[in-house]
Amino acid sequence: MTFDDSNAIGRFIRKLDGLAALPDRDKAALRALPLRLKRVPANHMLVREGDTVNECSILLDGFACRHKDTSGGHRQIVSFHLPGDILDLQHLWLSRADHNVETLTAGRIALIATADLRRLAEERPAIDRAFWRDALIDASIFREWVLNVGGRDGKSRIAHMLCEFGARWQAAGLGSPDRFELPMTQQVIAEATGMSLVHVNRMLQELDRSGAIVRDKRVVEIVDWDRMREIADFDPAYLHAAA
Amino acid sequence: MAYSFQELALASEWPEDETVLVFRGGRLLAVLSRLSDLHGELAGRWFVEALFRGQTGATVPTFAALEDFCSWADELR
Repeated sequence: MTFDDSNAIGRFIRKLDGLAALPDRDKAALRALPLRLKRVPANHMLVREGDTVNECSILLDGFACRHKDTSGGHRQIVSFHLPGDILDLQHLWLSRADHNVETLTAGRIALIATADLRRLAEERPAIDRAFWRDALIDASIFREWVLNVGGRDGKSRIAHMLCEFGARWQAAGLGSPDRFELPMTQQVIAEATGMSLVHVNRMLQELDRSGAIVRDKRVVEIVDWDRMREIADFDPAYLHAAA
Repeated sequence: MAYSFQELALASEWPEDETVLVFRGGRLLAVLSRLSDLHGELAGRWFVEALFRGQTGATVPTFAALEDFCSWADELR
Protein backbone atom coordinates (compact mmCIF):
# COMPACT_ATOMS: atom_id res chain seq x y z
CA MET A 1 0.00 0.00 0.00
CA THR A 2 1.23 3.45 -0.83
CA PHE A 3 0.26 5.90 1.85
CA ASP A 4 -1.21 9.06 0.41
CA ASP A 5 -0.39 11.48 3.25
CA SER A 6 2.81 13.04 1.96
CA ASN A 7 3.50 14.49 5.38
CA ALA A 8 3.45 11.18 7.28
CA ILE A 9 7.21 11.10 7.60
CA GLY A 10 7.55 14.88 7.88
CA ARG A 11 9.18 14.71 11.30
CA PHE A 12 11.69 12.15 10.02
CA ILE A 13 12.52 14.31 7.00
CA ARG A 14 12.99 17.35 9.27
CA LYS A 15 15.36 15.31 11.38
CA LEU A 16 17.41 14.25 8.34
CA ASP A 17 17.39 17.84 7.11
CA GLY A 18 18.81 18.91 10.46
CA LEU A 19 21.56 16.33 10.06
CA ALA A 20 22.64 17.17 6.53
CA ALA A 21 20.73 20.11 4.98
CA LEU A 22 18.76 18.23 2.33
CA PRO A 23 18.02 19.93 -1.00
CA ASP A 24 14.30 20.24 -1.75
CA ARG A 25 14.52 17.58 -4.45
CA ASP A 26 15.87 15.10 -1.88
CA LYS A 27 13.02 15.87 0.50
CA ALA A 28 10.59 15.32 -2.36
CA ALA A 29 12.26 12.00 -3.17
CA LEU A 30 11.84 10.90 0.45
CA ARG A 31 8.19 11.97 0.46
CA ALA A 32 7.60 10.01 -2.75
CA LEU A 33 8.83 6.72 -1.29
CA PRO A 34 6.23 3.96 -1.09
CA LEU A 35 5.55 3.23 2.54
CA ARG A 36 3.25 1.16 4.69
CA LEU A 37 1.65 2.81 7.69
CA LYS A 38 0.93 0.65 10.68
CA ARG A 39 -0.65 1.23 14.06
CA VAL A 40 1.18 -0.68 16.76
CA PRO A 41 0.19 -1.43 20.35
CA ALA A 42 2.44 -0.94 23.38
CA ASN A 43 5.05 -3.62 24.05
CA HIS A 44 4.90 -4.82 20.46
CA MET A 45 8.02 -6.41 19.00
CA LEU A 46 8.82 -4.65 15.72
CA VAL A 47 12.04 -6.56 15.10
CA ARG A 48 13.34 -9.71 16.76
CA GLU A 49 16.99 -10.63 16.96
CA GLY A 50 17.72 -13.09 14.16
CA ASP A 51 14.98 -11.77 11.84
CA THR A 52 15.80 -11.04 8.23
CA VAL A 53 14.64 -7.47 7.75
CA ASN A 54 13.59 -5.99 4.40
CA GLU A 55 11.88 -2.85 5.70
CA CYS A 56 13.08 -0.10 8.00
CA SER A 57 10.73 1.24 10.68
CA ILE A 58 10.28 4.96 11.20
CA LEU A 59 8.54 5.93 14.42
CA LEU A 60 5.80 8.47 13.67
CA ASP A 61 4.03 8.59 17.04
CA GLY A 62 4.75 6.92 20.35
CA PHE A 63 7.94 5.62 21.91
CA ALA A 64 10.13 2.56 21.41
CA CYS A 65 13.30 0.96 22.65
CA ARG A 66 16.00 -1.37 21.43
CA HIS A 67 17.13 -4.23 23.62
CA LYS A 68 19.26 -7.33 23.79
CA ASP A 69 18.35 -10.30 25.96
CA THR A 70 20.55 -12.85 27.69
CA SER A 71 19.87 -16.54 27.10
CA GLY A 72 18.42 -16.54 30.64
CA GLY A 73 15.82 -13.94 29.67
CA HIS A 74 17.31 -10.81 31.26
CA ARG A 75 16.51 -7.79 29.12
CA GLN A 76 19.01 -4.96 28.71
CA ILE A 77 17.53 -1.91 27.03
CA VAL A 78 20.20 -0.15 24.98
CA SER A 79 18.34 2.92 23.72
CA PHE A 80 15.04 4.79 23.79
CA HIS A 81 13.42 6.22 20.66
CA LEU A 82 11.15 9.18 20.08
CA PRO A 83 8.88 10.23 17.21
CA GLY A 84 10.85 10.94 14.03
CA ASP A 85 13.53 8.35 14.81
CA ILE A 86 14.38 5.62 12.33
CA LEU A 87 14.51 2.53 14.50
CA ASP A 88 16.77 0.25 12.51
CA LEU A 89 18.81 2.10 9.93
CA GLN A 90 21.46 -0.62 10.15
CA HIS A 91 19.15 -2.88 8.12
CA LEU A 92 20.03 -0.88 5.03
CA TRP A 93 23.28 -2.78 4.97
CA LEU A 94 22.89 -5.59 7.53
CA SER A 95 19.81 -7.67 6.81
CA ARG A 96 19.97 -9.88 9.91
CA ALA A 97 18.71 -8.19 13.09
CA ASP A 98 21.29 -8.35 15.89
CA HIS A 99 18.94 -6.98 18.55
CA ASN A 100 15.25 -6.43 19.28
CA VAL A 101 13.15 -3.35 18.63
CA GLU A 102 9.98 -2.99 20.69
CA THR A 103 7.38 -0.29 21.28
CA LEU A 104 7.03 1.18 24.76
CA THR A 105 3.67 2.80 24.00
CA ALA A 106 1.01 2.48 21.36
CA GLY A 107 1.91 4.45 18.25
CA ARG A 108 2.28 4.51 14.50
CA ILE A 109 5.19 3.47 12.33
CA ALA A 110 6.00 3.84 8.66
CA LEU A 111 7.70 0.90 6.99
CA ILE A 112 9.91 1.63 3.99
CA ALA A 113 11.68 -1.01 1.92
CA THR A 114 15.38 -1.11 2.71
CA ALA A 115 16.08 -1.41 -1.02
CA ASP A 116 14.32 1.94 -1.63
CA LEU A 117 16.25 3.71 1.13
CA ARG A 118 19.51 2.16 -0.07
CA ARG A 119 18.84 3.41 -3.60
CA LEU A 120 18.20 6.95 -2.33
CA ALA A 121 21.38 6.84 -0.27
CA GLU A 122 23.38 5.72 -3.31
CA GLU A 123 21.87 8.30 -5.63
CA ARG A 124 21.71 11.31 -3.31
CA PRO A 125 24.81 12.34 -1.35
CA ALA A 126 22.96 14.58 1.15
CA ILE A 127 20.63 11.72 2.13
CA ASP A 128 23.62 9.41 2.41
CA ARG A 129 25.34 11.93 4.70
CA ALA A 130 22.22 12.27 6.84
CA PHE A 131 21.96 8.48 7.23
CA TRP A 132 25.63 8.27 8.14
CA ARG A 133 25.31 11.01 10.71
CA ASP A 134 22.17 9.44 12.19
CA ALA A 135 23.92 6.06 12.54
CA LEU A 136 27.05 7.64 14.01
CA ILE A 137 25.03 9.63 16.56
CA ASP A 138 23.19 6.42 17.49
CA ALA A 139 26.60 4.84 18.11
CA SER A 140 27.65 7.82 20.21
CA ILE A 141 24.52 7.42 22.34
CA PHE A 142 25.24 3.71 22.78
CA ARG A 143 28.77 4.56 23.97
CA GLU A 144 27.37 7.03 26.47
CA TRP A 145 24.95 4.36 27.73
CA VAL A 146 27.80 1.88 28.26
CA LEU A 147 29.52 4.54 30.35
CA ASN A 148 26.29 5.28 32.18
CA VAL A 149 25.59 1.66 33.12
CA GLY A 150 29.19 0.71 33.79
CA GLY A 151 30.66 3.86 35.24
CA ARG A 152 28.10 5.99 37.11
CA ASP A 153 26.45 5.45 40.46
CA GLY A 154 22.71 4.84 40.69
CA LYS A 155 21.56 8.40 41.20
CA SER A 156 23.75 9.69 38.34
CA ARG A 157 22.51 6.94 36.02
CA ILE A 158 18.88 7.86 36.52
CA ALA A 159 19.61 11.59 36.37
CA HIS A 160 21.58 11.10 33.14
CA MET A 161 18.76 9.14 31.57
CA LEU A 162 16.32 11.94 32.46
CA CYS A 163 18.63 14.68 31.13
CA GLU A 164 19.08 12.82 27.85
CA PHE A 165 15.37 12.19 27.53
CA GLY A 166 14.62 15.89 28.11
CA ALA A 167 17.20 16.97 25.54
CA ARG A 168 15.91 14.52 22.94
CA TRP A 169 12.29 15.41 23.75
CA GLN A 170 13.11 18.98 22.78
CA ALA A 171 15.15 17.96 19.71
CA ALA A 172 12.22 15.86 18.48
CA GLY A 173 9.99 18.94 18.66
CA LEU A 174 7.83 17.53 21.45
CA GLY A 175 8.22 20.49 23.78
CA SER A 176 10.38 22.00 26.48
CA PRO A 177 13.19 19.87 27.95
CA ASP A 178 12.12 21.12 31.38
CA ARG A 179 8.93 19.11 31.57
CA PHE A 180 8.02 15.83 29.89
CA GLU A 181 5.99 12.70 30.45
CA LEU A 182 8.06 9.57 30.66
CA PRO A 183 6.61 6.91 28.40
CA MET A 184 8.08 4.07 30.44
CA THR A 185 7.54 2.29 33.73
CA GLN A 186 10.14 2.18 36.50
CA GLN A 187 10.72 -1.46 35.48
CA VAL A 188 11.74 -0.25 32.01
CA ILE A 189 14.05 2.35 33.56
CA ALA A 190 15.57 -0.46 35.62
CA GLU A 191 16.21 -2.46 32.45
CA ALA A 192 17.82 0.57 30.79
CA THR A 193 20.09 1.41 33.69
CA GLY A 194 21.04 -2.06 34.91
CA MET A 195 19.50 -1.45 38.33
CA SER A 196 16.86 -3.18 40.40
CA LEU A 197 13.34 -1.77 40.42
CA VAL A 198 13.80 -0.98 44.12
CA HIS A 199 16.95 1.05 43.46
CA VAL A 200 15.31 2.96 40.62
CA ASN A 201 12.48 3.96 42.97
CA ARG A 202 14.96 4.98 45.70
CA MET A 203 17.07 7.03 43.28
CA LEU A 204 14.04 8.83 41.83
CA GLN A 205 13.01 9.72 45.37
CA GLU A 206 16.51 10.96 46.14
CA LEU A 207 16.39 13.17 43.04
CA ASP A 208 13.01 14.46 44.26
CA ARG A 209 14.44 15.22 47.69
CA SER A 210 17.50 16.95 46.25
CA GLY A 211 15.18 19.52 44.66
CA ALA A 212 16.53 18.87 41.14
CA ILE A 213 13.25 17.40 39.86
CA VAL A 214 9.57 17.36 40.74
CA ARG A 215 7.54 14.32 39.76
CA ASP A 216 3.84 13.79 39.37
CA LYS A 217 3.35 10.17 38.42
CA ARG A 218 5.24 9.90 35.11
CA VAL A 219 5.50 13.64 34.49
CA VAL A 220 8.98 14.86 35.30
CA GLU A 221 9.85 18.51 35.72
CA ILE A 222 13.54 19.35 35.82
CA VAL A 223 13.45 22.40 38.06
CA ASP A 224 17.19 22.83 38.50
CA TRP A 225 19.11 21.95 35.33
CA ASP A 226 22.48 23.01 36.77
CA ARG A 227 22.02 20.67 39.70
CA MET A 228 20.79 17.86 37.43
CA ARG A 229 23.73 18.26 35.02
CA GLU A 230 26.06 18.06 37.98
CA ILE A 231 24.39 14.98 39.51
CA ALA A 232 24.10 13.30 36.11
CA ASP A 233 27.59 14.16 34.84
CA PHE A 234 25.61 15.19 31.73
CA ASP A 235 27.36 16.88 28.81
CA PRO A 236 25.05 16.86 25.78
CA ALA A 237 27.99 17.03 23.31
CA TYR A 238 27.59 13.29 22.58
CA LEU A 239 24.11 14.01 21.13
CA HIS A 240 25.78 16.22 18.49
CA ALA A 241 22.86 18.68 18.82
CA ALA A 242 20.76 16.58 16.51
CA ALA A 243 19.42 13.48 18.21
CA MET B 1 22.42 -25.97 56.04
CA ALA B 2 20.87 -23.88 58.82
CA TYR B 3 19.93 -20.24 58.29
CA SER B 4 20.02 -17.67 61.06
CA PHE B 5 19.09 -14.00 61.15
CA GLN B 6 20.30 -10.90 62.93
CA GLU B 7 18.34 -7.66 62.92
CA LEU B 8 20.15 -4.37 62.45
CA ALA B 9 19.63 -0.84 61.12
CA LEU B 10 21.18 0.43 57.89
CA ALA B 11 22.87 3.83 57.80
CA SER B 12 21.16 4.56 54.46
CA GLU B 13 18.83 7.48 53.70
CA TRP B 14 16.08 5.11 52.62
CA PRO B 15 13.09 4.59 54.86
CA GLU B 16 13.34 0.79 55.02
CA ASP B 17 13.46 0.34 58.79
CA GLU B 18 13.65 -3.43 59.06
CA THR B 19 16.87 -5.02 57.92
CA VAL B 20 18.40 -8.42 58.65
CA LEU B 21 21.71 -10.12 58.11
CA VAL B 22 21.14 -13.64 56.83
CA PHE B 23 23.71 -16.24 57.83
CA ARG B 24 24.02 -19.73 56.40
CA GLY B 25 26.12 -22.19 58.34
CA GLY B 26 27.38 -19.29 60.44
CA ARG B 27 28.65 -17.32 57.42
CA LEU B 28 27.10 -14.08 56.14
CA LEU B 29 25.10 -14.80 52.98
CA ALA B 30 22.97 -11.69 52.43
CA VAL B 31 21.57 -8.41 53.71
CA LEU B 32 17.81 -8.05 53.29
CA SER B 33 15.51 -5.07 53.87
CA ARG B 34 11.76 -5.03 54.19
CA LEU B 35 10.45 -2.49 51.70
CA SER B 36 8.50 0.52 52.99
CA ASP B 37 5.22 1.89 51.65
CA LEU B 38 7.17 4.06 49.20
CA HIS B 39 7.61 1.00 47.01
CA GLY B 40 3.96 0.61 46.08
CA GLU B 41 2.98 -2.96 45.37
CA LEU B 42 6.38 -4.22 46.53
CA ALA B 43 5.83 -2.75 50.03
CA GLY B 44 6.31 -5.35 52.75
CA ARG B 45 8.45 -7.64 50.58
CA TRP B 46 12.07 -8.46 51.34
CA PHE B 47 14.65 -6.90 49.03
CA VAL B 48 18.17 -8.28 48.69
CA GLU B 49 20.47 -5.33 49.42
CA ALA B 50 23.61 -7.43 49.13
CA LEU B 51 24.31 -11.05 48.32
CA PHE B 52 27.60 -12.81 48.81
CA ARG B 53 26.90 -15.91 46.77
CA GLY B 54 25.81 -16.20 43.13
CA GLN B 55 24.56 -13.28 41.10
CA THR B 56 23.59 -9.90 42.46
CA GLY B 57 21.76 -7.01 40.88
CA ALA B 58 18.63 -6.44 38.88
CA THR B 59 17.79 -10.09 38.26
CA VAL B 60 17.43 -11.03 41.96
CA PRO B 61 13.72 -11.17 42.92
CA THR B 62 12.03 -9.81 46.04
CA PHE B 63 10.48 -12.20 48.56
CA ALA B 64 7.23 -12.29 50.54
CA ALA B 65 8.91 -13.94 53.56
CA LEU B 66 12.42 -14.68 54.81
CA GLU B 67 11.69 -18.40 54.40
CA ASP B 68 11.06 -17.81 50.70
CA PHE B 69 14.46 -16.17 50.40
CA CYS B 70 16.05 -19.20 52.11
CA SER B 71 14.37 -21.61 49.68
CA TRP B 72 15.60 -19.51 46.77
CA ALA B 73 19.09 -19.28 48.30
CA ASP B 74 19.25 -23.09 48.62
CA GLU B 75 19.75 -23.08 44.85
CA LEU B 76 22.86 -20.90 45.25
CA ARG B 77 24.90 -23.61 46.94
